[in-house]
Order: sequence, then C-alpha cells, then structure tokens
Amino acid sequence: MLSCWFFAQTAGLGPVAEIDGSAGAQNPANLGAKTPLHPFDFGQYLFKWALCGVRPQFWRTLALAEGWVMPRLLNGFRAKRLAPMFGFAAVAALSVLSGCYSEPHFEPNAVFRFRVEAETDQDQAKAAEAVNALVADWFGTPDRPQWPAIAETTAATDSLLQVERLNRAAGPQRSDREDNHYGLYRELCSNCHGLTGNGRGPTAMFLDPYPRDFRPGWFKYKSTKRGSRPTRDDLYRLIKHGIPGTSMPAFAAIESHEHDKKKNDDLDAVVDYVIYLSVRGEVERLLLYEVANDEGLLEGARARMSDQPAGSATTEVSSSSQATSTTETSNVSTASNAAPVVAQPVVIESTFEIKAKEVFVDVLSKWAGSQEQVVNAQLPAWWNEPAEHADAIAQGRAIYLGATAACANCHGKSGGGNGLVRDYDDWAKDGTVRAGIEPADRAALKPYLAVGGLKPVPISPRDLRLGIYRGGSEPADIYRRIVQGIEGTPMPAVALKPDNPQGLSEDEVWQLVAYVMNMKAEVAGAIPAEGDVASRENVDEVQP
Amino acid sequence: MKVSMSWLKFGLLLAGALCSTFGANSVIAQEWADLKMTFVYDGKAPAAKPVDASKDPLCLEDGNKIVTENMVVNATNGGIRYIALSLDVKDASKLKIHPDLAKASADKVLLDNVKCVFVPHVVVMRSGQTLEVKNSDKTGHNANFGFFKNQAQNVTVPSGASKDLKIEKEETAPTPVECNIHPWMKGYVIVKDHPYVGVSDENGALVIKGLPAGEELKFRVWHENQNKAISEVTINGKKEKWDRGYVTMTLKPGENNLGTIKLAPERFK
Ligand code: HEC
Ligand code: HEC
Repeated sequence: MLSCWFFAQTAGLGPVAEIDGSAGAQNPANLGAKTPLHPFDFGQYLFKWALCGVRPQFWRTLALAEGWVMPRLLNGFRAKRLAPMFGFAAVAALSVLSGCYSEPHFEPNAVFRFRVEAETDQDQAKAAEAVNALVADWFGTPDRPQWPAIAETTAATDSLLQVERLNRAAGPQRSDREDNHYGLYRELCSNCHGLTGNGRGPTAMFLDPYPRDFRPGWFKYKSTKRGSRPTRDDLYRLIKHGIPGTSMPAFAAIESHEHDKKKNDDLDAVVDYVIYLSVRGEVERLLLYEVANDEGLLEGARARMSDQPAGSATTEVSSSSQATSTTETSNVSTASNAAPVVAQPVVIESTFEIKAKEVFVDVLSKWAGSQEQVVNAQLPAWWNEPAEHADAIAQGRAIYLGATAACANCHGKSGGGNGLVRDYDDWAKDGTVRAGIEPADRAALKPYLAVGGLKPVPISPRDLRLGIYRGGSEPADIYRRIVQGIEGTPMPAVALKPDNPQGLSEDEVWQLVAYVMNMKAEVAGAIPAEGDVASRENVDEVQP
Repeated sequence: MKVSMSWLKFGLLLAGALCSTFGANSVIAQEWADLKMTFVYDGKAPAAKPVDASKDPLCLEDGNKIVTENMVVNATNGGIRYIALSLDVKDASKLKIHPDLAKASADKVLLDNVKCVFVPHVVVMRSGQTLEVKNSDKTGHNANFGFFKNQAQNVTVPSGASKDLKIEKEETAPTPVECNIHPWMKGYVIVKDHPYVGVSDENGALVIKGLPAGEELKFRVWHENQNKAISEVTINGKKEKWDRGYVTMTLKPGENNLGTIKLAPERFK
C-alpha cells in the first residue's frame, strides 16, 4: 500500500484533477504538520483514491510492479534514512484524505546526497534541508512552478525559455475551453522521467537504458560540444522524433493542434519544462555540493532556516505563488490554466543565498550559451558523388579498424560491439563509483538502492550493424557523435587534427561516417570478423 | 591559587606588551616548513591482484604483466603507496605560499599511458595548469575524466599522441580518470588552487615542502581504497583521531617529521 503512495508521489500520477472544481481541496498548511503513520490511514487513503478515479494504465503498472518491484522497494525502506519519508507519506496520505487532490512535491536528490555524504564522510541532512528549502522557494512545486527573477539572469532567461509558459507543461493534466492542453509533462513524460525529472518514474526500472535524469544537466544527443547543454532546437527535435532503439517515444503528435496549426507551442512548452527541471535539479546538486564542502556556508544556511518558523518554507512558497496563480488553496481551476508564471524576486542576503545565486547564474549561462557551442558539421562535397562516396566508405573502413580512431576496440571489428567488459554510464556511476561503491557488488550497492538509486545496468557499445542511431540518423549527427563522443557514456571523442597532429582530419571523419552508415547494408553478406563471435548473440537482444 | 593565577595573567600581559612593542618594529620574516611522514600498513601486506588483459595483446607484449593499483603496499617495509595529503583551505588567495611555489609552473603536467596503466597513478596539479594526456603505448587509449567542477572530458588518445587539457578549477575531491577501452585502467587527478599536496611513494613516504610555519594548517588525507575516510591512525605507536580524514597541525620552521603513521587494515576496503 505504501508503494501505491510512493508511486503516486514519484510519478505524479495522483488522480487527475477535475477541472470543473468538484474535487481537490487541499490546504497547504497541512503539509508542514507531522503526523504519525497509521496503517489505517493508508487503507482509507487507498479507498478514497480508488473512488476518485485512477487511470487504468496506472493500475496496470501497479499490478506489474507489486510482484516484482515491491520486494526491492521495501528492501529499500529498511534503511533508516528513509524514516522521514514515512512521516511525509503519512502527511501526504492525510492531506489526500481531505480531498482527492494532493499537491505533489519535488523529490530531494537523495542519491546525490548519498554520494556527497560518502565523499565528505559526514551526514548532510542539514545541508540538504537548507538546499531543499531554498530550491523550493526559488523554483516552486510541480503544480506551481516558479522562476527566480535575478537581474543578472534576465537576458539569459529570456533567450532560453518563456517563463510565463511554464504552467502549460506543469501541474496535473487538464485542458481549458479553448482546448489548450495543460500538464503535458505529467501526461506524457513523468511516467518514465519522474515528476522531478530524476529519471525514476514508475516504469523506469523496467527500461534499458533508463530514462534520462535531467538533474545533472548531462545530455547525450545534441549538436553542441560534449559537456555543453543542448540547444532548444536539439531538445525540440529529440522530443519530436524520440530516441529510436530506446523506449523514448516520438512526440510529433503534440507538435501542433489539429484545428489550429499556428498554435504550435505544446512541444515548445515541454522543452521549456525540461529546461526548467534540469536547471532546478542542477542548482540543487551544485548547491548541495558547495554547502556540504564549506561549513561556513552551512552556517549561513542554518541562519536562513532559523529565520523562518518551522514549516514555513512550504507555506511561503504557496503564499508567494498566490500572487501569480489564482489557484489559491482550492483546486486547479480553469483560471489557473491561463495565469502565466511570473519570475519571482528572491531574497539574496546571506552568503548561502549569494552562493545559490552564483550557482544559478552559472547553470543558466551554460544553457543560454549553448548556441555558441554548436559543433560545425558541413557535409563534404563528395558526399553526394556516388563514385567518391564509395571510395570514402572503403577509406572509412580502414580508419574504423585503425589504431587512431580505435572504434573497433569497443564496437568490434565488424561493428557488433565486442569490447567493453562491464562498464556503466555516468548516471549510474554518480551514486556508486563516485561514492566508492563497485556497481557490480550487490552487497555494497544496498545503501545506494535504499536511497532510491536505480540498479546499475552495464552499458554496451552500440551494435553498429543495426543502423539504428539514437541521436539522429543524419550524417551530421553521426559526425558529431564521433568528434565529441557521447556525453555521460564511455564513448570518447575521437582525436582530431589540428589539435592533435596524430589525429584524424575532418575529411577522414566524414569517411568514417560514410563507412558507419554503410555497415547495415554491408552486414548482409559479411563474414563475422574474429573476436566478434560472442557479440553476435547480442544482435538479437538489441534488435527491436 | 588565586594569587598565582593573577601573577600568571600579569606575566602574560607583560610578555604580550613587550612582544607587541618589539614585534612591531622588527619585520618578522615568514618562515617555511617541510612536512614528512611515512604511511605503513599495520598488517600483512595484501598482494596486488593480476588483471586479465588478454583482450588486448598489445598490452601484454614483452611479457608485460598488469596488476591492480588500488591497494599498493610494499612487501618489504609495508609502505602504502598513493596516499594523498592535501592542504584544505577555503580561499587559497589568502594563503601564504612559498615564493618559489607562488606561481604554478608553466610546464604541462603529464599523465602518460604506459604498458596499459596510467602513469602516474595519482596526478597532482594546480588549477590553471595544462594536463598533457600522452599515450606511449602501441595500442589506442581513451581518457575519461569525471570532473565535477571542471568540464567532464572523454578523449581518445591514439598511440604516440598527446592531448592537452586545460584544467581551470580546483576540484574538491580527487577526480577519477578511466580508460574505457581497458577497463582496469583507473587513475586519479588532484587539482588544487595551491601547491600543498603530497602523494606517498613506494615506501609510503610523503613530503610536502614550503608550507607556512607557525600557523594552524588543516589537511585531509585520502586513499582511493579507503573504507570511509581515514579517521584513525597510529603515529609512532600512539592512536590518534583524524576526524573524517582531517588533521590540523602547526608546523615549526624547517623539517617536521611526523614519523611512521600506521594504518590498520580496517581503514581499507
Ligand atoms: C516510455 C518512457 C519514456 C517516455 C514516456 C518519455 N521518455 Fe524521454 N527518455 C526515455 C529514455 C529511456 C531516455 C534515454 C535514452 C538513452 O539514454 O539513450 C530518454 C531520454 C530523454 C531525453 C534526453 C536525451 C539526451 O540527449 O540525453 C530527453 C530530453 C527526454 N527524454 C525528454 C522527454 C520528454 C520531454 C518526454 C515527454 C514529452 C519524454 N522524454 C517521455 C524514455 C521516455
Ligand atoms: C570506449 C568505447 C568506445 C569507443 C572507443 C567508441 N565507441 Fe562508439 N559507442 C560506445 C558506447 C558505449 C556507445 C553507446 C552509447 C549509448 O548507448 O548511450 C556507442 C555508440 C556509438 C554510436 C551510436 C550513436 C547513436 O546515435 O546511436 C556510433 C555511431 C558510434 N558509437 C560510433 C563510433 C565510432 C565511429 C568510433 C570510433 C571513432 C567509436 N564509436 C568509438 C563506446 C565506444
């Protein structure tokens, strides 16, 4: 039963709010209260919940989950650190009892806190508390997004997203009389990516690769340099087309409304919201890191907390957002759909707040500056000349097998991917390797899983013979994958001239692109190269 | 008792007054200290484990054997290699730095790939310096740096090639560097705003030179295979607490040798 609540909270799949206002009273003041957990509350909660109407797909997920996931999840609950969550669960359950709609909250980044605690060898509860309060103040909640109005970031913000539009993708799924859709993120994405954008929606644990955790700000498929943020266009294109070969679906359907082709902003609103979640999550991460490593800041943070009466952090968010959202405490009304989000002024006085501002400015400039980080990828003239192109494929094959590019080391001589022995992506390493835990060590993993980390799944080099490219199948996409590598994964950037005299020239990279893109055609009659035998079995697994 | 206390106070006051009068007139030159210590494994030295590198025959040429480097203990004297001790300061610009060390060297800091291991295993550098990632092997390598404050990097380094990386910012924790082509290859990079970092050698000996003498300095000890922070040590037979791996000391001018620091096997994984 606990799990039901857990899912509802993490996935934001609570009951769909009624727009006509018949249901959904919830008093934010309740949220601050601490009430002991009683099993009966949960029974009652479930009962109400069922009455209030839960989407069938959710029940399906639950049924699936109960048998397989629950033992693991409950295993996690044994950890002492999760004890506060029980309290929170009780509060949430109680607040739901007062009506059908409970305002969800962003989940604190417990896995990152776990890593920082390992690194500093110190409990970071105080630091996390302070950071979470500030982040809630600055960014609001899943239903009431906010954006900090800071003079230094106005220009960057304007170039990056439309703050007013954040309410389009935020909140529960709903629509207004003009058939504008709201709550798009929760309708379309949070199942996988989680309400917080932590990549841990209710279906996440069944997927490989796992859905993206937006909070570290690492993205794989983009036109920009490794380590830079994607551009808006990159995100737009990726969400529109999905990621072939993974569970990430294409959302071309929401690109425009059937009856109004000009109103083309549902997808843009979703892009805004992904950026919002990522910025919010990265600020939380970086600020926690700073505070955990600088006791002076923690003093400032404590002072900030003690300035406010207990529980007021949540209350304050609600009261300040009342100015902009007409929701009040009642329900998610039609009026709130139309009310745009307005950037909110924030208090910046203590050293802690000054640090938070620094971090925010830093994160935002990375996003706003991504356009300057775009990697130039100009198709060579020979690309469309069949004879020359055929030559290039032959050249590319030699480069592929050669020591400079080293592709075959991981992808295998014939592209089937024979290389890596148990490697993991950076999302998995973040809470394991970086916290001193070997991802393959089941016993050592326990505390990581207990704080909500997803079981690390090894990453393998792509089987290039399938010809399925996750990051787009234009030659320029493959070119960029090769010269930058794939962020967050073991796939490295190739060595390039002139920076690296022994490296490949631009033209040689294009030859490599031509070869890679021809592998699928080539594979039909090909004899497997030595050393690729083992990987042939993988082919069936990978094939969708 | 009362009397003696007030006399003591008076004496202190007097001494203080004298000091301030004379001290103000004479320029006190900053004095510098060298810090030395030797880390020893307090138990039977664990043997290095062999690595299966058969996937890449180029790594095994000329009978090369590769062993794990995460716990290197000298079989003869028990010295623990690759323990790092770094000065912990919030703001290095306020730190007194020996004139010889004030400016980071313009030379590049080398991280080489030799016989399919990273050399050195633990690289120490200052923010603003350039890290040259070199490949002296016949086989190709990549170097995947999990920086936190600096931009994460993952570059291919072909045989015989080098790749320069400018590292701008200090890193709070040692940064792991991995070669994903040869998954046993793992090293660390320590980036600080100041020059005061020491790494123990094959005998467990660690030296940090040119530290400011006469003021309280806080250090943090680290080893890649530590089981939580190294919070308890035995110095010349006496147990000491190094809370969360931190130790504070005030050094006298010249050499300061802490002697032998024994670490119990439980300090490691
Ligand atoms: C069925 C599950 C699922 C749903 C629903 C889903 N995604 Fe994803 N998404 C994924 C997976 C899995 C990945 C990771 C793919 C990979 O790592 O190759 C991903 C990756 C992403 C990425 C990161 C791409 C990169 O370059 O790193 C973005 C952005 C994203 N999704 C946005 C969205 C948005 C916005 C929605 C809703 C409109 C959404 N996703 C819905 C599964 C899903
Ligand atoms: C250290 C191992 C490694 C090396 C070396 C390597 N790759 Fe990869 N490569 C990977 C991994 C791992 C992935 C899968 C990443 C993922 O799924 O997130 C991948 C994915 C790819 C993809 C798929 C991109 C997409 O959009 O789906 C292509 C194409 C590719 N590699 C080409 C190359 C080429 C060409 C080279 C040589 C220049 C190369 N790789 C070298 C590990 C490597």
